[in-house]
Amino acid sequence: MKLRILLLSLMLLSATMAQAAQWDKTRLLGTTQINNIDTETQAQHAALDRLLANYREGMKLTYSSGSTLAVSAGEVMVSDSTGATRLMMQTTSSTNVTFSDLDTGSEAPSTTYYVYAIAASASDTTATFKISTSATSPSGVTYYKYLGQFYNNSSSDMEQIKNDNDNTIVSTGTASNSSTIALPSGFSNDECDVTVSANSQDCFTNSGGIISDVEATYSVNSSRVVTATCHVRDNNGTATSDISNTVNYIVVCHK
Amino acid sequence: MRRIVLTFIAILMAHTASASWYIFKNDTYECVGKTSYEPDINDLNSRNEFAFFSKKDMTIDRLEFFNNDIRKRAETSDEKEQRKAEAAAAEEQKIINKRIMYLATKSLEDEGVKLKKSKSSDFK
Repeated sequence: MKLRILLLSLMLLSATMAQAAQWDKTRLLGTTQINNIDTETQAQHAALDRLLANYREGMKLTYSSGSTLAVSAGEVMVSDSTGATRLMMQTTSSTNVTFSDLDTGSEAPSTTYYVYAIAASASDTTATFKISTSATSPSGVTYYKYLGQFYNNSSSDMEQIKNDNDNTIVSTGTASNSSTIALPSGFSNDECDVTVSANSQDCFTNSGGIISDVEATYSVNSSRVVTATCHVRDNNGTATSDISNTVNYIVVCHK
Repeated sequence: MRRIVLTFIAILMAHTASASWYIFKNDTYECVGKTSYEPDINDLNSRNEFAFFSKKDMTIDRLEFFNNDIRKRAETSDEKEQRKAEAAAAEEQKIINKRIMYLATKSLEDEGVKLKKSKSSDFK
């Protein structure tokens, strides 16, 4: 019986502690008792940390040249591996990132590299950047935040740049009849909308009759399957078989 | 002004030179599409497809994956025949259309109708 009461008390206590970690605008008022200040401050910090631990505004990776990435100005929270230390970093102008920013070793072709914003020391406020083959943490760096990745192709040119915070993307392309338009990486079908238009229209008849009608269909269904067909109908109402064509498409995804 | 034009041309060139992921069937290496954003691998796998990134800007018709690159495959004999047949039919249709126009305009002229744009001699 005692054990049950004890367990129940512990559960209630842990629930109360979990609630206490939420942001509370009425905390730390002038009337707060001095012996509660540490606890309440920590509770506010915990709430802020939950919100800001992965903060990133701007710092978008873009292609500059085969050997240079540009990182736009912005702000980011970098952390140590445990999350015990958070540092709020900023850059006020675009920064070039090259293989001179590689964390260790030398540039390798046909390799995916990961880009991190880092703080070189705990007292820095301006972010610098590191390239690494590690998808989890750059070598020799204590405070970091993953920003994105790129592929260093067989000619050692940077390409396929991808930002970690691509929550909205627009993808364009071409697709053939009966094919399924590919989902952009990192998005589900429910998060994307697709529209198509004619890319090629080939309607052919050698039936010898007078063409009375050209019937072309360009559409995409909810499963992203494309219909791009065309046939002609002569003045006797006889239709030729469908000819497969292609569509241009736009996919817009948001999550 | 010249700068604006040059900037516009540079933007246009940058746009047209944009790279793509080309999507192929795993069994036939036939290209079924291309896309400007990296496609989802699991989505492609579900249809037995794969993507290949290339800076080449090519239309997808007759495109195939070959020797770890993309290329236009040669026309098959059926496709050649089809193309010839289309060209022949188009040529024949042109002759027929011309005769139809000639007969129609001649007939109207004989009836005394004054046409503003066309005359039968244009189609003879």
